[in-house]
Formats: sequence, structure tokens, C-alpha cells
Amino acid sequence: MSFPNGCFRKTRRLRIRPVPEREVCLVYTPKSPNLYTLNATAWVVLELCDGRSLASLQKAFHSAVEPLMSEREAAEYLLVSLRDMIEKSIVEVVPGTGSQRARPQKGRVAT
Amino acid sequence: MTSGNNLDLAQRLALRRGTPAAPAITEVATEIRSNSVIAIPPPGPDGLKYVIGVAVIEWAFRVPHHRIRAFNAFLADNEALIADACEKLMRGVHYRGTYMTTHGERVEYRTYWAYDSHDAQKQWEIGLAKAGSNFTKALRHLRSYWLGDPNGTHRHFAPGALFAKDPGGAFFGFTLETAEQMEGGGAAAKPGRRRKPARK
Repeated sequence: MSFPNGCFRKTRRLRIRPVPEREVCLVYTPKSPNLYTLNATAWVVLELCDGRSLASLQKAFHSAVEPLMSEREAAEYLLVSLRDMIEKSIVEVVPGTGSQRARPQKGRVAT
Repeated sequence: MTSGNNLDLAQRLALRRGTPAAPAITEVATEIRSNSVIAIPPPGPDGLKYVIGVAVIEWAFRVPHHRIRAFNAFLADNEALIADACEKLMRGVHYRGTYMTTHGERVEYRTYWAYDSHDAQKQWEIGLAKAGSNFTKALRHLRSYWLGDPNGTHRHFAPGALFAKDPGGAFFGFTLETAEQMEGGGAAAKPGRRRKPARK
């Protein structure tokens, strides 16, 4: 990660609409107007993005999907999903204060 | 629904089918549906030279009696400017005047705009480019009277002859076919048709 101390949170004014009958959620990104469909796995990642650090996210995501996935497999899914969501302005990286009120920084998620 | 509840729901759905699927985010392609809108077909090259316009727009609005003198004075001072500016600044956009209509004591105004084509309406982006121009100021003033009437209307007209070949888009064509089938006793359902009462 290019933000070793960064935290991940949903972008401001993001709109999330669960569509459980289709096992997805719809997300609207006002910052760069677009509508996205997230499958349930990506949706879990999104819901966990509440200002946590990467390490905390990895732990929380693994606990959400264990024992069906190993820590390594869960981490891979998480990174793929985070990269995609940052690129689409669904999630943003903020300095690692742990606070959801922190200001966002520009950057990208590296492998 | 709280975020905590959302997480529980998402987790339950992610595990529902065993090992979670790879995360996937797909963009939803949005589309504008126009089922209830009649699409205006373009006219042929030599057609409809007699009409006011291929598209005509009418603003209808009432003006309070205490503002009627002022409004009529405004029209006298500004209509020629508006009309000439339309011709000079835009292609295919014509101001055709604002008319006072009377129904007894009720006074209503109607403003008419004519367009040489449906696309000519895009010319307003050019015509209104200068916010401080005399034309824009006059037009804003005129439009403010329309805005001042909460019951004001804005109607679009198109010559009926344009729809002889193309009925106005697929959905309106479908609507007409359904109506014709109903009238002709075709295969479609016949809701609303009166049955003759049985003789006793």
C-alpha cells in the first residue's frame, strides 16, 4: 500500500442501497456521478471501510469470510476490491488517525 | 438501515452460497426512457414550408392586474430586440410574439417560439452565452413573468403531418396500434368497451 498508515472510508455523500433479493447493493458516487452494482463480497468490504487501517480491514474481512477463505485469500480479495473502489471513488484513503473525520489524501493502492 | 445491519446483511449474503465469490463492481449503464414521450420526426427537405415551425413552444401565463401595464410596456420596448437577436445570434430559432388573450376579466398571455428543427433548440447555448447582454436581460425579464405564475404552462407543438410516416417513436406507435386493434376488434384486450345490454 502506498499509505502504510492510511485508513479507508466511504467517500462523502456516498449513497448505498441494499438489494438483498439480488444479493447486491447499489452505490451512487456523487463525487464522480456514477451508479455501481457491488456483489456481496465487495459490499462486505465496503461496509468495513469505516476509517479502519489496512491491517484492521484485513483482520475484519478475514473474520467475515473465515473459515471458507484463508487469510491470504481474503487479503487478495480485499486488495482487489479496495483498488477498484478507490479508482471508482467509492472509497477514499485518509491519513491514519483512525478518525472518520480526517481529510482525504490523493493516492492509489499499490500491490 | 444502519451500517451495522448492512454489514450483517452483506456478510450473510456473501456466505450464502459457500465460499464467497470474487469481489465484483460493475457500472450500471443508465438510460433515458421515453415511453410517454412522442418523438418528433425530422421534416423532409421540401416539406412543411407553410408551418409556423417544425417545433413550436408556447408559454402560457397569467400576469396580475397590477403588473399588466408594466408588462405591456416591457413588451413594447423589448419584443423587437428579442426577435432580432434570435435571428442574429441563433440559427433556426424565432420569437413569434407574446399575445394577450382575454376570457372575460381573466387576462392570460401566450408567448410563441418557433424552431426550424427540433435540434435548433440547442442554439440557446449560443444565444444565452453572454449573461449580461441586452438580449439575455430582456429574455430573463420575460421569463420572470412566466415564472411568476405557478400555473404557467410550457407546451410543445409539432405539425401533425410530420407523424404521417413515423408515428412518433416506437412506443407511441405501439400505443396507436393497440388503440387501432381495440377499435377494430383485433387480438388485443378490449378494456373499456361498452357492451350492448342483453335483450330480455
